Amino acid sequence: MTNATLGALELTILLAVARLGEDAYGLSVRRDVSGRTGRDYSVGAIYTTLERLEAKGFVISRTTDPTPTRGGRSRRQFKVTAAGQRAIRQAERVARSVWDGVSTGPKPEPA
Amino acid sequence: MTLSSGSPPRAVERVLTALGADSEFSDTIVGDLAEEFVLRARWDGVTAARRWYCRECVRVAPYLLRDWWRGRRLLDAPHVIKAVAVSSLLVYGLEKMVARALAPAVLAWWRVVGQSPAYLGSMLCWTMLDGLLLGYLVARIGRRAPVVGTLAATGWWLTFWVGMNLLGGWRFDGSMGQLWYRALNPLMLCSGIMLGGLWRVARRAPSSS
Repeated sequence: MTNATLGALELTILLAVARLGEDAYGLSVRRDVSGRTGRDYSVGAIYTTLERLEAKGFVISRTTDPTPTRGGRSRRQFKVTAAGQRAIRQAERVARSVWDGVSTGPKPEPA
Repeated sequence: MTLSSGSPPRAVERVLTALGADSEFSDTIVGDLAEEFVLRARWDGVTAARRWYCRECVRVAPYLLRDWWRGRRLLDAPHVIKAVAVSSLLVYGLEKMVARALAPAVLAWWRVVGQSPAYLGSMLCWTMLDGLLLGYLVARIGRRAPVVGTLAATGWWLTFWVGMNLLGGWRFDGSMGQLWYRALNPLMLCSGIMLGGLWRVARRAPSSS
């Protein structure tokens, strides 16, 4: 079992890979992460983080057959490993624990 | 919305793949950019997609260069140094030959025009031509990492120029005293090196050997 820690962007991207399942590759991960965070990440930032996650053992990748829309290049698809799933659960536990007892302010009154 | 899909600018693609990153890493990124380009060209039109593509390439270039630095810098460094040294010597030698051949004419002209803007402008153009030739040769000789070679040559000549100016020892003519000329000259040289190198890279795919 890996004891590597997860940074904020690493966790966001790991969650995106888990959410996208079979369709997790650079472009779809970037769209998902950018759409949810409202930040426009470059594809280089996404792949650098994915490579880091792969080095930590949280995701694995495989290349698909080349496609004409990509100029004859392969797609690199990612999948969350068992260690990645454990890291997600651990991050969720930590987040719940950290947020426990914190009030985010009064709820807005209905108009 | 236009239905024309077009294709990404091939010259920019070649520059990206010539940045020296691991081929799998750069192919994946260039492939993703190409795929999104096709979608954006359908939605927003080819011109907007090309603009987006060029902007993304600028954003992605540092990551590709960082990949080169992590993976291949020790392997490619001797080739880059050789390319910069050989190109610099070739351009310096050629410049000496041309300068010697044209010296009487240039000196006669210089006596007439002195340090006029026309004279200094022509010297700046000469520096730019030097840079273009140097950049082209660096990218051609250092085929394994042509963009890195071009950047290294730019860095080396900029450092050299600034160093010589700070030391105040390089005064091949009286015009070196003019501040705007001294500021513009290294700028022209470095722009020339970058343009020459990128022009070479954009025309040819890098060697994988």
